[in-house]
Amino acid sequence: MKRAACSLLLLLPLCGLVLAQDAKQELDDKSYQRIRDYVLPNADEEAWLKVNWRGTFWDAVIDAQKEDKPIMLFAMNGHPFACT
Amino acid sequence: MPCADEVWRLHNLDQPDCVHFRKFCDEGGVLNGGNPGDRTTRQGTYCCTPSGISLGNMNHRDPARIKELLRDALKKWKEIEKKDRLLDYDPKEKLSEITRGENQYPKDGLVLKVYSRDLERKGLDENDWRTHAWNFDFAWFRKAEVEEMLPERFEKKTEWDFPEQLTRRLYRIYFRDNVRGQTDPFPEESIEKATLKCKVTKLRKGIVTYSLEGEVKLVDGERGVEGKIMGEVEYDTKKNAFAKFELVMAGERWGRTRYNAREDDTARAPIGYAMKIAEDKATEKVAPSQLGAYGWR
Repeated sequence: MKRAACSLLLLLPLCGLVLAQDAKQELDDKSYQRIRDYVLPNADEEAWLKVNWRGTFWDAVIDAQKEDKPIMLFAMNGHPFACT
Repeated sequence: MPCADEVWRLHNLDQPDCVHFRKFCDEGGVLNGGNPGDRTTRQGTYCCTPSGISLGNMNHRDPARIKELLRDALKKWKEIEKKDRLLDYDPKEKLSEITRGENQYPKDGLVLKVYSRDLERKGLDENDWRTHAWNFDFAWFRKAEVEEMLPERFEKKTEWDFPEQLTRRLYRIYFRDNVRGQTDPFPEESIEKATLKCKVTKLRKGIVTYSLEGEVKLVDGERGVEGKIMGEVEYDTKKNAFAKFELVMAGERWGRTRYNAREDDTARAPIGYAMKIAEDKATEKVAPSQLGAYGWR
C-alpha cells in the first residue's frame, strides 16, 4: 500500500507535465471554423484600417498636392502594411 | 494625408519619391541616433508638406506623443504660404520613374491576405505582447496562375491537384513563422511534404464550389513547420473570378530566425494561418514581403 502511494506521488509531476502540454489542434471539419476565427484578427485588432491610408509615400504626395493638405508618413523597415 | 511606406527604399534609392523623402527626413534631428548621410535606419513618423518641408518627426509608439506631433505639424502647416507648401509640378508626372513591387499588382489575378497567429497555448504570460502577436502578408497570383487552379471540367466530384509549383510557393513563403516579426521564406529544398487536393463539391447558378485539403512539412536546419490545410473556394464562372478563396492551416512550428522573436520559444508549438481574398483598397495592395522569391519576371 505504502509502495503504491509512493508510486502515485512519483507520478504526480508527470501528470502535471502532461496537463501543461498543449493539445495538438487537429484541423478537421469540426475545428475548421473555430481555428479560422481564432487566427483572423478581431475588430479591435484591425481598428487601424479605419484610417484612409495611402499605401505609398508618393500616392500621399499626389493626393496631398491635389487637396492642399499636409502629409503624415509612417515609415518602417518592411512596409507596415505587409512586411512587419 | 496619412500614408505608410517602407523606409529602407526611401532612404537609399535615387527615385523621385526617395529623393523627396531625403529632403526632409533629417531636418530637426536625425531619428534613431543616426547622423546626416549615414545608413542608420530612418524608421519613424514624419509630417511634411507636399513640397517636402518638414513639419516634425519622431520614432515613438505612444499615441499621446504622436498626437502632439500632429498638432504641432498642423500649426506649422498653417504658417507656410500655399505657394511654398505645394510642389510647382504635378507629382503624378513622376510616377513612371518610380519602380516598386506594387507596380506588379495582379489586378486581373488573385490577391490573398494571409494571417498568422500562435494557436492557443497554456502557460504564457498574458501581459507579454508576444502572447497576443499576429501578423499578415499578401499572396499574389497572376491571371495565368489563376487559370491553372481551375478544374478541366466544372462537374461535381471532379478531383485534381492544385498546381504543384503554386502549392510549393504558397507553403514555403507563407507558412514561415512571422507571427512575432520578419523572417525569411523556407528554401525550396526544405520542402518534405507539400500537397493540396481539390474537389468540386457544389455547382449552383454559375458558382463552382471546391474544397481544398492538403499537408505540409518544411524543415530548414533547426527550424520547421508541419500541419494540415483545409479550405473552400467559390469560382464565379460568369465573372471568371473568385467569389471566395479561403484556406486554413493548423499545425506546429519550431526553431527560430534572426528577427522573429523566438529566442526563448524554439520547441514545437501550435501555429495557425488563415487566408482570404484581399480587399480592393490601398492597404491591401502592398506587395508581398517576399515578392522577390516568386521568381516572377
